[in-house]
Amino acid sequence: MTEKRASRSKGFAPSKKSISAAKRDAEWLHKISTQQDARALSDLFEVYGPKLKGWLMARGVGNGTAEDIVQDVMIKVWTRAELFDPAKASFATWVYRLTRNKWIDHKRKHGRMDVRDPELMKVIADDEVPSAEENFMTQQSSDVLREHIARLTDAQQMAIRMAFIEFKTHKEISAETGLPLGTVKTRIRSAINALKSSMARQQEKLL
Amino acid sequence: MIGLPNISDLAFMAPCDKQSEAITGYAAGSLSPARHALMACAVEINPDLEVAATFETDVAASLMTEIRPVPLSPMLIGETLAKLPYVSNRPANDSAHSDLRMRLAPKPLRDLMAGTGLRDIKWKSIVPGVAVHDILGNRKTRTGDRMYLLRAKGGMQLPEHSHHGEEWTLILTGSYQTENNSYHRGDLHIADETTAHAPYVKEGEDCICLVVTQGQLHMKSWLPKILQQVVGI
Repeated sequence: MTEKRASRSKGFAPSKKSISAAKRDAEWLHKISTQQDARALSDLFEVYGPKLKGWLMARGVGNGTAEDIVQDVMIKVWTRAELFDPAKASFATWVYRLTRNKWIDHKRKHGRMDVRDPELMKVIADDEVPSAEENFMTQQSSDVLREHIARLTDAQQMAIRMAFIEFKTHKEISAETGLPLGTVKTRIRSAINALKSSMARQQEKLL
Repeated sequence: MIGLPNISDLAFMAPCDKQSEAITGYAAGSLSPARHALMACAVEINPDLEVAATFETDVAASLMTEIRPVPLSPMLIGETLAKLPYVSNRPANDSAHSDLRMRLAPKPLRDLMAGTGLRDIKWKSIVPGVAVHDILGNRKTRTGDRMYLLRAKGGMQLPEHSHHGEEWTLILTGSYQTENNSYHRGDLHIADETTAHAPYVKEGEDCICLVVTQGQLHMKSWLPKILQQVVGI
């Protein structure tokens, strides 16, 4: 089982472009963690900051709050850079996860929930970097994934977008498309499965 | 070899639709804070969920490029650089506990309890053998999600109940059985709002679960109903 997982983590061949981006990111992270190089952090966020802000604003976060969250994430990258391991995750995934968790954290703090144990929730919501998720994080580059998504049928691509970036509930999608709720769910599920199989097939070829 | 499924099939197999939906919601960041936290714990202690969540988080991250980037305010990076704290060369802070009991709680729980673990929680007893500990929200939470730990003694039959919305349960210790299935540590049990169930906790170890529900549970019989008024679940 372990063997299979280990092999999966290096099963995908990233394109040259993504290799250079990953290498560039890894160098910046290395400079941050070993030399406390603020310039590297600045360069990193020139690239990723606008993307993260765009993601947050697409989720309905206001301009000011989005920038507060990006700032928090940037500081977290600074203090946690040593925990980043390019062999385990791409920086894009790592920073996405930080941002997503900060956003959930923000929702919790500003929601109406009665927090019983604020410390607990802080720790849970902050659970970012060294989580177990990273133990066998596949290093499939973003570009490879996008190539595979592009090979899906139009309907499948649409379903993937609905699930991951349009930020609508299944009910909203159902209302908009006129499809029954169950159909919406099935389409999203089968599109994700198709993507998984597509990735798995490529992996088999490489083994 | 007979009947043994291929490992890669196993890893890519959808455990069930509700779980798959939960993973997608977790990866996309569209769950409520309570459900997101429960999934973070689940992913930590369940390798199959971890594989699935890792894959879908990669998908979500790679799709970020399809969202229109929004330029940062000109001063933001500079201001942030001015705020950077000094980072000393400290060792990675994963406190590897030797005490196995402590490992029972997913890392977020362990961290909170400053190394004490599940056994030092202040439990609130509901009925003999069953206790809860509120984490997010409480029995007065009418709308929105409520998260709590539930502990039941081995051999207990829990009162039959149903709920508003889905009840998500992550088993941390022990195990329990419903009509159709049995659940063990790391299993995520998503119960539909339409089904009433009365899990049976297996003999032996206490069963401790992390639970997210919406609003109050609906008890089927009068005794738990009365107890519910008194202690709340």
